[in-house]
Amino acid sequence: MHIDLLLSLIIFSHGVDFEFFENAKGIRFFYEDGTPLSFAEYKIYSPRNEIFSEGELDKLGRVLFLPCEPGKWKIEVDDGMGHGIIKEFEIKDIQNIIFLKTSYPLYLKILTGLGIIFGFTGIVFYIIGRKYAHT
Amino acid sequence: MHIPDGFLDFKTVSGTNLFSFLTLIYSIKRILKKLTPERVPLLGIFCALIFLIQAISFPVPYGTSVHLSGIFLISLILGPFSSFFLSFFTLLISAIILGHGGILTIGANSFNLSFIGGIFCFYLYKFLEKILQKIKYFLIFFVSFLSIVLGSIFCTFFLSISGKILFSKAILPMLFSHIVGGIVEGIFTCSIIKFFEKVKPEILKIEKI
Repeated sequence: MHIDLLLSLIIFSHGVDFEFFENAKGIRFFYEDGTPLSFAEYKIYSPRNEIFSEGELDKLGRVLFLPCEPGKWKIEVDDGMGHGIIKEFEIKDIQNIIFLKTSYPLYLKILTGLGIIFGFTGIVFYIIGRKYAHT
Repeated sequence: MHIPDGFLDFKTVSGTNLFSFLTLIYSIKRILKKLTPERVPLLGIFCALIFLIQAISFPVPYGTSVHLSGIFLISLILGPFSSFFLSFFTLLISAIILGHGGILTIGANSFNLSFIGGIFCFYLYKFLEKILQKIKYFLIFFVSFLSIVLGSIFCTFFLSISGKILFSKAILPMLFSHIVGGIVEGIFTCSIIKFFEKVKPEILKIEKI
């Protein structure tokens, strides 16, 4: 898994990094017969009644989010075919959030890059210096 | 302006890579012709400078971040082809170590940054310098600014011809963030040139390759 994460870092553009977190709140939506609301649209409202997150549920009708403050949150789900739900729920504890940093700190990466550049410069300097010493 | 792998289609990747590798080969030939032991440490130090300033991004409005490029500055000190070569090398290391940009998209990235900033802007500056000699620092500021803004326009163009974004929709946010970056780049380039003129003027008289 660590190798996968390391390789996946390479595809990202500048200034984009990520970290995994645990203890996110998850909600699953399904019809009465148990069929999930696959890819239904959702909106999550914070206790201040501002939109905090919006998008589509996953294939199994789930959404995960990380609340930033305790209080009464609200979620609206609409499958676009006349079915949906608006549900309020209480978040009491947001303390136990664990972030898992997956990449090396920027300063270490910069030091590695500078090391390569100066090392390469040293090799070229040695080769050119020898060539000039012989001529 | 560091386009990651997978964001450009085959025709754009192959076209830009062909152009950039041919320019790289020509640049290396030009550099090797006149490479002296005294010039090598300068190339190394300025390569490290480009790498360092490109690694540090700062936030701008529109929820994105930009970084300085320093490529036009290096072309003013060492010359256009040295600047292209150093910038290409830096992009390669940035892609491998920092994850900035991609390996396959290095052709497009070096076109946007190294060719536009290093070669095109150098000759544009030399052309404008002949006409407008009295406003040297304004010219340096203007061409530095242009090196960032033109690069961002080409970056948007490459992404749009690859079908990733709509040019008409993406160009305004892209320009806005890079206009801010261009102003900072212009001030940075002028400051460094002014600094060298005061402290070590002989560094500005090095042969431009």
